[in-house]
Amino acid sequence: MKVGLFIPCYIDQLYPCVGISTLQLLEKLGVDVEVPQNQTCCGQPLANSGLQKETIGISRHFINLFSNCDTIVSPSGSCVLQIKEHVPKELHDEKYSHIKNNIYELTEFITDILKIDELDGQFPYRVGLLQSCHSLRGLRNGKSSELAGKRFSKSGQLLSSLKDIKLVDLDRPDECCGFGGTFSVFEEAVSVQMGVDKIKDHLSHDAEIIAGTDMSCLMHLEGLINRNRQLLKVMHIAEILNTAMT
Amino acid sequence: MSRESILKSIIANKPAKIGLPKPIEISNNEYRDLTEKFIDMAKSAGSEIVEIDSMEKVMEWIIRQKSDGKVVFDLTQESVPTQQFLSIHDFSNSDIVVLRGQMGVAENGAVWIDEHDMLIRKLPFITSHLVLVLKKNKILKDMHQVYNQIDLKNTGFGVFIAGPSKTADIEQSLVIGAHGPIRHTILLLS
Amino acid sequence: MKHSQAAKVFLKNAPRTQWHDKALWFAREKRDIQKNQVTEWETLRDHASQIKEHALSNLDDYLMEFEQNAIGNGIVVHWASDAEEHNRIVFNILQKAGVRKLVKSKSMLTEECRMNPYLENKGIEVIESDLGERIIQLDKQEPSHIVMPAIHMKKEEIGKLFEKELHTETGNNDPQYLTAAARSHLRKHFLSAEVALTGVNFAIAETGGFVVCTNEGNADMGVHHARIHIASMGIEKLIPKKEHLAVFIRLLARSATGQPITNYTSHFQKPEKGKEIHIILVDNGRSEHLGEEKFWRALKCIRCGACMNTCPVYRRSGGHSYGYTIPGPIGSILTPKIDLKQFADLPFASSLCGSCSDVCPVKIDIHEQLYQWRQEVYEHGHLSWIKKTGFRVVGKILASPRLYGLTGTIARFFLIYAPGFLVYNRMNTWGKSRDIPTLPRQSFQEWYKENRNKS
Repeated sequence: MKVGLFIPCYIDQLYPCVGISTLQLLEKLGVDVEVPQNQTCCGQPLANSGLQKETIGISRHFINLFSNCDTIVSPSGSCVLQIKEHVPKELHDEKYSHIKNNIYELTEFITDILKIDELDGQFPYRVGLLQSCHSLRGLRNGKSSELAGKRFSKSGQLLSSLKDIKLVDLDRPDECCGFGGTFSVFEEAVSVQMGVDKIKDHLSHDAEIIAGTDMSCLMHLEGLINRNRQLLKVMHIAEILNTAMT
Repeated sequence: MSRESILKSIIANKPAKIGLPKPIEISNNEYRDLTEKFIDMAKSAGSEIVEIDSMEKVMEWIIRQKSDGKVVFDLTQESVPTQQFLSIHDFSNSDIVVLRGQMGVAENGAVWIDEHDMLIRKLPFITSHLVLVLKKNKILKDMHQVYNQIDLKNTGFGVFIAGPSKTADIEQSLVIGAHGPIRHTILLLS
Repeated sequence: MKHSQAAKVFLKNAPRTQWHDKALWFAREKRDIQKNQVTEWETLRDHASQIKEHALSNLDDYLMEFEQNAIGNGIVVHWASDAEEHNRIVFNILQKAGVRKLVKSKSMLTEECRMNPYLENKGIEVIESDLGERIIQLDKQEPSHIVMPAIHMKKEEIGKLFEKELHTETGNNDPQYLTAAARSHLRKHFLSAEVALTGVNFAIAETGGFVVCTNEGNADMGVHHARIHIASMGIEKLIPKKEHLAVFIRLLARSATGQPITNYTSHFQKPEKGKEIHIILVDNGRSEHLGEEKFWRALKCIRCGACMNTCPVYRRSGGHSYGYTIPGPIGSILTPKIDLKQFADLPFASSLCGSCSDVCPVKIDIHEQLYQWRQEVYEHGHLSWIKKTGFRVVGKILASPRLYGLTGTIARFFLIYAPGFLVYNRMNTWGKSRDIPTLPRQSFQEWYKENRNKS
């Protein structure tokens, strides 16, 4: 199986360590990873602002770059959702549907494709899990609290398999953190308040680390934590799993 | 006229026909005991429950209330009040109204009554204390079962009542006694 | 005022925002408890959604069936193309009856039609009888929530208002006391009501009757005392059969207030002896909305308000920030259909977290429609020039790996080495309350080339 790794633009530019962790983690799990060169973006910042039409160029570039991969993995649920659901209709062809059906967010790739539910690693910290909305309610990599039935979370499953980790219970386990892409700027005041509240929920349960599947949400929270000099750290789940497995 | 133009506009705009789903299948053995579930739910809606084993005891219960000097209108007895009786009262001073309940709903503690049970529609609403007499064997599991039994075409008005009137419009704090009854009692008859 | 600006004003009062957020989250939690007690909850949602889609796709037939059966029941049926016609019909009924007072229960439709000011202009006294609505009416405000109209007000404010309007004790803010005061104040109006108006939660084609749900009993107190009952309903409220009521009644109160059923679920079939029932079927843009391929499903809405209670943005910005009768997520997908330009900012008043769609008892794809409305806003040229141009440039850069690599390097260089005041200036909305990330020396792609791709 040829697995192509998609590292979204903001991870590439701002959090290369998350890209590196993802690559190393996948390799530890025995995956043959290829990183197609000249990657850019999934197009989401434009599409979510109403300019889906203007993402044809970006999406075409993405499709050409990844159409040779059997499977595509990305450490961002949000970008995966963009590719699966909001690529302009003009590009809906066989190449695209292959990509649409074979692109996975990192943790769902581990649990659903590699069929690994437990990882051999240790992480002795109190961790709060940030259920990013696009992973949770978009990709359904967990059951949101609004729905009836047994709760599950693919990322939570992997984290809880680590030795000595303590996953803290939050008052509002899956309320949005307030990032929301361009929402964080268009609706700055509400976005900031949502982030502040999310951090407060973690602090009140003595979390030491906020873990997430989307670095964009974590970037928003990290920005607030650093500005307010709070004792909390954000980590992408790839970083945690990769560190734990050494 | 507007009727025609609205219908015309709907026909021009409506989406392609979508079929009705098959009737819903509901498991029938969810609650261990229907009466117990009904009592739980009715209580949580603010109803008082009195379990009673005969109609005579119901009479006694009503007479006890009367002896407190309260104005009681009891429509559960054989001698149904006449139209004249109804027209001389405005019922705004009624302390207690006693009516027969037709069916109870275990899943939510509500009781169904219709026009035949109340004679005039304002009666269950204007009194400060509504008392419903309900036979235990008239408790059904859920709304699906109850609606199967209700014959809307043969009544002018029917209502599910679940507890005394209430509101939470001020800061979401629950207050019992909004515009309708302040007390609600169900006499459960075995 | 735009939503983002109104939200900013709302958020200035931090303790109040926190209180508002908690009060509504409490409603969401109560709803969750109820949802967990119904084993077939998701099946019910599926059913409700399908029944509504079926009804809407056959709406003309069901309206005619309803009309015929309602007339057979002795109900007078009126049709109103728009708000003005609806209001005129109400006024004509009052005028013909020679009545100058209307006692009404809560109806989002009459709010939508701006009926109260219309009637008041013609000298009719309108008495709102739902406690929350009465508070709002006495304070000359607009409702901020469709189920809890006065949820934005604190009891101290209501106490002051009642002191002035209902002569209650000074400084007594106890909800129990204030509710009792409203009860006796409104009782006078109920007992003297001659014409009463209600909304409609569900109308049933098969029976020609309709259902009204309240907790306070105000709808029943009004109509059973009055000679004439006027029921105003949007045409989308119609469902085919009696048995479908079970599905919707089970969902409505659980979703709205976290109760298994409302206190009173009243079924009106025929007028009481010697009395009249009038029903007004109102279109006001709905039939045209049906033709919107991406948006017609918004008409499935049963007005439970659950999307407001769950919405993290609504809870932190308040209902008034949306500038329309129906606020929150559902309002943000209904308003663009009314006036895309005026309400162009509302589809953006969401982080697209999707909680609204998952909480919705009739499974409206609310957040997907918000996304689609954003596309309409752009395509109809209502996005600001700065955003439009900015995004187009970004689009060009992201489509070209060469430009992407170049700008990425420059941007990082600038952010690392530029002095702080240049980065954290007024133009940088991100940085007002948030730090920007500590910037890495090289990008992932640069690292990869250096460490892995030595070929």
